[in-house]
Amino acid sequence: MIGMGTWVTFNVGEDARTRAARAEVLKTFFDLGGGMVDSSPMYGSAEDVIGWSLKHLKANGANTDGLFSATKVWTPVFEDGEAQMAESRALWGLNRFDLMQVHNLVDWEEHLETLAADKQAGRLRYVGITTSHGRRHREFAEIMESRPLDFVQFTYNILDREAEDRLLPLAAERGIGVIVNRPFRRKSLINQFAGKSLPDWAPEIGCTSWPQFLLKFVVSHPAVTCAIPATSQVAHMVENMGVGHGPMPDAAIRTRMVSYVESL
Amino acid sequence: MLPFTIETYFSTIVQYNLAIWPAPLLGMALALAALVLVGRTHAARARWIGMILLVGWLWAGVGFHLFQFSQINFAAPVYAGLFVMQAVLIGWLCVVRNALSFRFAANLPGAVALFLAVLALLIWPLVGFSAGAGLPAAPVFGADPTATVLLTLALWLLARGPGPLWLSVVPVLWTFVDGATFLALGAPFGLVFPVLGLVVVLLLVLKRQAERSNGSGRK
Repeated sequence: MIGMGTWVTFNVGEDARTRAARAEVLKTFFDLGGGMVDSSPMYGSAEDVIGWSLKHLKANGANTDGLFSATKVWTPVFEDGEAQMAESRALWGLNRFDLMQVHNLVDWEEHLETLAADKQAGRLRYVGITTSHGRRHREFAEIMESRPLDFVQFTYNILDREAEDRLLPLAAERGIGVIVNRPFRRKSLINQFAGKSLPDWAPEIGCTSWPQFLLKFVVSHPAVTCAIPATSQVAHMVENMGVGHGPMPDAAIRTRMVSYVESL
Repeated sequence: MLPFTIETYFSTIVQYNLAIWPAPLLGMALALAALVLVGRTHAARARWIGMILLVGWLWAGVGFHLFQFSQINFAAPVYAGLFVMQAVLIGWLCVVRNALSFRFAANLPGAVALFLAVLALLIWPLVGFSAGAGLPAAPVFGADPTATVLLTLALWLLARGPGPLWLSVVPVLWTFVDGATFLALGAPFGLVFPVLGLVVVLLLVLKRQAERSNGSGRK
């Protein structure tokens, strides 16, 4: 239900101290039952840092068996997708990924063929596509309707709810797993509501903070498989992972949640 | 939205400087040498200034952008291409053709040039230095694109002859890239760079017009 994104947060270059801090975040994620780690070659050194962190954790006796590795193929300018995916495997230290996604639909026709072949040959478990910021939803839906997909990833949060119109119901209809990015709009939702009171019924759904309230809204949608908030802090990871437990809002409470934030 | 934080940006400079240490000290020395070489008419000195700038732009383009910054920023190879292109232009005009001369002048362009030089050699390195990790944290000419651009713009303001205006296209463009980058990273000081870039362009245009009116456009 709660995965981990790595956009910006794991793109920390070569600094050993910062890498070690990210490894602690990843350890906390696994210790609290987390599985899906999502990244991309577009995220700079994030895949390298993930690989380093996994190796570091294993060397120190941490259990990383729960890892569900999810990355993307992204070839905006004359790049070789297969070579890029091979490099990603090397960076993560894996023989195969659980999920490979076509990032932001770049070269999707070519890559979906390659990924389908990889899946058929057992080199990959699942195939997906991604978009974000509400972009290209119409084309996205067309691909969902016409191609065999295991996962889709798009933006969905308490203020950006366009996906409710078509993508979420379509995913449910076709049995496609849904990964949600930007559940906090990269912290801007948390900042927007900071200082404002939660509704007095928030504890009834297990929420004692705005990040929990916002994240719980996302993951309580029946079509959502998981959200992938990114964080660089252990305390925030603990808070995020707590959302996966406790009561989940039903449709009526979700409507109340939207009404409440829109009234602020 | 950039794929890195401002802490990671300055950390990348630290890691690069540490990896090539003590070369950043050479960068600082080259920048000082370029300013020392600025004088009255002396063709050999002007050529040396051109060579220093050529080295600086190639270093920043290939060394920093292509090999270091590309680790955290997918746009870095494009930046590398721009910096290499500028190096080639400098090489052609300043080294091969030796078309420019440089001298200090007690006028507005001279004063702005002095400010830019202080910014490149002292203030900007101190900004990086204050981010921690001591001397290796200081972004300097050659090893750092911003310091390289600032010193170059200073030298263009001190130059005479055809070229400084169109040779300022890439450096001024970079001031806007820098400005946008630092503003996106939440650093308001980023606004200083494009403002300085526009000031330099304006002064170069006025300087060129004055040179033409005086019939002193040639070296």
